Amino acid sequence: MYGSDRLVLAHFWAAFAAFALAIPLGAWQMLVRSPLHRWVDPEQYYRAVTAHGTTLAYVFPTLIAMGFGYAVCAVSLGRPMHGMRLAWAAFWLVIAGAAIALATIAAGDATVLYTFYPPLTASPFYYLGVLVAVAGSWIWIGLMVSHFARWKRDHPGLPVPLAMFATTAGALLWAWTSLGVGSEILFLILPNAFGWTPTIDAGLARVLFSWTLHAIVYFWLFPAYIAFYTLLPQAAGGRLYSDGMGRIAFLLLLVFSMPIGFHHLFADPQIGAGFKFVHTVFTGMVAVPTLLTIFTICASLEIAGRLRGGRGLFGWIAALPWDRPFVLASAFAMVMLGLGGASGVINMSYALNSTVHNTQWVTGHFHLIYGGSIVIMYFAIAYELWPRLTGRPLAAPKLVRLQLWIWFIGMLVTTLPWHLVGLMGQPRRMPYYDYTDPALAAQAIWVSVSAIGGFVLVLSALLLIGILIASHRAPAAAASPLTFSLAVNPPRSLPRSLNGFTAWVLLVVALTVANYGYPVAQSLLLRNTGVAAYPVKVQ
Amino acid sequence: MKSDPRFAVWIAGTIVLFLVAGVVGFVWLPSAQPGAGALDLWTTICRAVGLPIGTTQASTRGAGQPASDVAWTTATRDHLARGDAARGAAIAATCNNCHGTNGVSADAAFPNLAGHSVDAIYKQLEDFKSGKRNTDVMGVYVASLSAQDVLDLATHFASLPNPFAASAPGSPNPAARNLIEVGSPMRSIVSCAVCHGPVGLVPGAPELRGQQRAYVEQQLQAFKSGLRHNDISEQMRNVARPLTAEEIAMLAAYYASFASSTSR
Repeated sequence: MYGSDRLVLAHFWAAFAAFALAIPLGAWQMLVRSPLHRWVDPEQYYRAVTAHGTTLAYVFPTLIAMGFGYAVCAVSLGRPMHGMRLAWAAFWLVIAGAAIALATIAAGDATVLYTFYPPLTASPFYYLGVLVAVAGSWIWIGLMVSHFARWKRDHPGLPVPLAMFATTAGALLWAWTSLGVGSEILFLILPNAFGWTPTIDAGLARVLFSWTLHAIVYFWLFPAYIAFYTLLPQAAGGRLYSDGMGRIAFLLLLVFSMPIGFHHLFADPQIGAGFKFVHTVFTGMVAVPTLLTIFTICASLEIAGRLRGGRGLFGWIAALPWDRPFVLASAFAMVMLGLGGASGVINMSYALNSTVHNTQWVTGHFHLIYGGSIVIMYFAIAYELWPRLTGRPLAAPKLVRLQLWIWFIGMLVTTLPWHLVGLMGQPRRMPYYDYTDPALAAQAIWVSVSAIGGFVLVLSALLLIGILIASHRAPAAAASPLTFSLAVNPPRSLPRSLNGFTAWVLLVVALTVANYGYPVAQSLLLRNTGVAAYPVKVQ
Repeated sequence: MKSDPRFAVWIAGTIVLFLVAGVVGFVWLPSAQPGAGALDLWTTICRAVGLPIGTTQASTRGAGQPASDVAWTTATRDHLARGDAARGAAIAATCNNCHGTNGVSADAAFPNLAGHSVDAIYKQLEDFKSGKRNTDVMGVYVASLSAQDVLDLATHFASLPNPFAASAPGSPNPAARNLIEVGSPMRSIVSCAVCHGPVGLVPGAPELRGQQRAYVEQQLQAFKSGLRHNDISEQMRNVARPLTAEEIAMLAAYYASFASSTSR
C-alpha cells in the first residue's frame, strides 16, 4: 500500500484492542442490571458505562476511520503519502488521549457517562484526554484534505477517485462537527472543572454537544458507506451502478448530517419549539442519501448477481457469492440499517419521541445502527485489508463467516428486546431495576434475553480477535493488491460540484448559522443561566 | 473550469427547504396550538423562537410564596466564594454554646455544623433571617447578623473538619441503608445519598453523617407534616411525606451511628 501498511495496521490493531477491552464491559453492564444478577454499586456501573462508551464512541471508530482513510488515500490516489511523521504523531496523540481519559475513568474520577451533559462533571483529565484524542484526529483531517487538494492540483480536470472523495467528505464533516464538543469542553466544562467559573450553563452545553452528537454517528458511518460503494460491488463480482450517485450521497451526508442535532434535545426547555421543528425537517433530509445508497447498492448487487447467472425477479440474490465475508457482512449491515433507520424515523418525530425519550428504546436504536450495521462493516473492512496489510492470507474463512453470523444474531438478540422494554417504559442510564415489582415484572424476561445477547456478542468479538491474530501469524503468501470497484460508467470528467467541496463547506457553515446561531446566541446573552456543577466520582 | 449550474440548484433548494420549514415551524404550527388564538403574529414567532420576552407571564397573584429566598444562581455562587472564615470564627462564640466549639454539638437536639457545605449553612441562616424557616429558637440569634456575618459564619463552619467523614456507621441497619442508597422508587422516595452524599452532593443539601439523632428525626417529621417548608421545590417534603415514623427513626439512628474520629 505504497508504504502505508504499518501505519494502517497500527490503527486497526489499536482500534480492535480498544474494542476487545470495551465489549466485555458492555456485556457485564447488561448482566448486572438484568434479573440474572444481584444489584451492584451504581458507581461501578456508571464507571463501566463511561469506559465502554468513551472507548467505543470516541476511540474505536476514530482509529478505524483514520486507518481506513490512510489506506484509501494511498491506494485510490496510487502514490505514497506525504506527511507520514505527522500521521504517526496523530496516531500517538489519539492513543495518549485515550489512555489519559481511560485512566481517569479507571481511577473512578469520571463516572459521567460518555455524553458530556453538565451539570454532571468529571475530573478535568477525562476531558483533556478526549481533547488530545480529538486533536490527533484533526491532524488526520489535515492530511486527508491536503492529499485531496494536491492530487487535484496534479491532475487538473480528472475526477478524484470516489473512495478518496468520500473520505475527504468524512474528514470535513468531522472537522466541522467536532467543534461543538470541542468548544463545550474548552469554554464551559474545563473552566468549571478547574474551578475558574462558579457555575456552568448546562443548557448551552447540551446545545453544543448536540452539534457533535448526531453528526459524529455519520463520521462513524462514513467508512461503512465508503465500503458499500467502493469495495462491495467488486467483492460481489460486479460493478458499481453509479459513481455520481455515490458522490451525491456523500455530499448530502456532509451537508445535512450536522445542523440537525436538536432532535436529541426535544425535551429541553432552553430551545424554542420552532427550531426543534426546523431540525426535524433537516433530520428527515438525511434519509435521502441513505435511500440513495440502498438503491445504488442493491442495483450494484443485482448487476453482480445477474453476471453470475442469477435470473428472475429475485434469483440474482441467491446467485450472489455469499461465501465471501464482505458480501455477507454487507447484507447483515443492510438489514440492521433498515431496522435501525426505521426506529430512527420514530426518534426524530417530535410526538413519537416523547414516548421513547430517555427509554431503553434509544439505547437499542443506537446499538443496532452503530454496533450492528457500522461495526460489522468495520469487521468486513478489516478482513478485506488484513491480507494486504500483513502479507498473509486470512485464516479460517469458515470461522470468519461464523464470526459475522454470531455478531449479527447477537446484535439482534441484544437490541430487539431492548427496544421492546423501552416501549414498556424502562428508562435508560439506570444501574438497577426492581423486577420484583409487578409493574416491572413483565420486562424481566426481555431484559434477560437481551443480556444473553450481550454475551453472544462477546463470543463474536473474541472470535474476531482470534482470527486477526491467527491470520497475522500465518505463513506469508502474496495477496492481490487492494483495488476499488469500477463503476458501470466510470467518470471521465465531472462537473465541479461533484469533484470538490468549497461550495458545500460554505453551505454547511451557512446552515449551521441558520439552525444553531440564534439558540447559541440566546444562551450566551441571557444572564443567570448558570447552575452549580455536580462533580461525580467513585467515593 | 466553467461554472456549474448545479451549485445554484442545490443552494436554492436548501434555502427553500429552510424557508418552508421556518414558516411551518415558527408561524403555522405555533398558531395552530390550542390557546394560541389570542396571540398576535409577532408574539407567536417569538415564542416559537424561544425568546423569553413576548411570552405571557404566569400570574403570581394568589400563588404561594417561594419556599426560600435563596436561589442557586451565578450571583449566589459568586457571593458564597467570598466568605472570610477567620472573621466567621471570631463572631461564632454565641453559636458555639449550642453547636459546639468544633462545630460538633453536645446536645442531640442541636445539629452539628462542622464540615457542612457553605451553601447548606448559608441557606439555613438566610431562611431563619427571612422567616422561611421556623424562628422559635434561632430567630433571636440571626436577627442581628449582617449579610456579611451570615456568609462568614457559613464559611467558618464549613472550614471545620468533619470528624465523621472517615468513619463507617456503627450499626449498619440494612433497611436504613437500602433507603439511603436506593430509596424506595415505587413510593417515589428518592435515595438520600444522591443529594446528601456519598453518591452526590447538591447545593444546599447538608451533611448527614454523624448528625444528631433527635435533630434529624425532628426535622424529617417537620418536613412530613409540612411544619418545615423552606425546601426549594418541596424536595424534602415530598421525600418525607411517604416515610413512616419507624423509617424516620431508623434513618436518624443510622446517620447518628457514625463514630467520631475525635471525642464528641
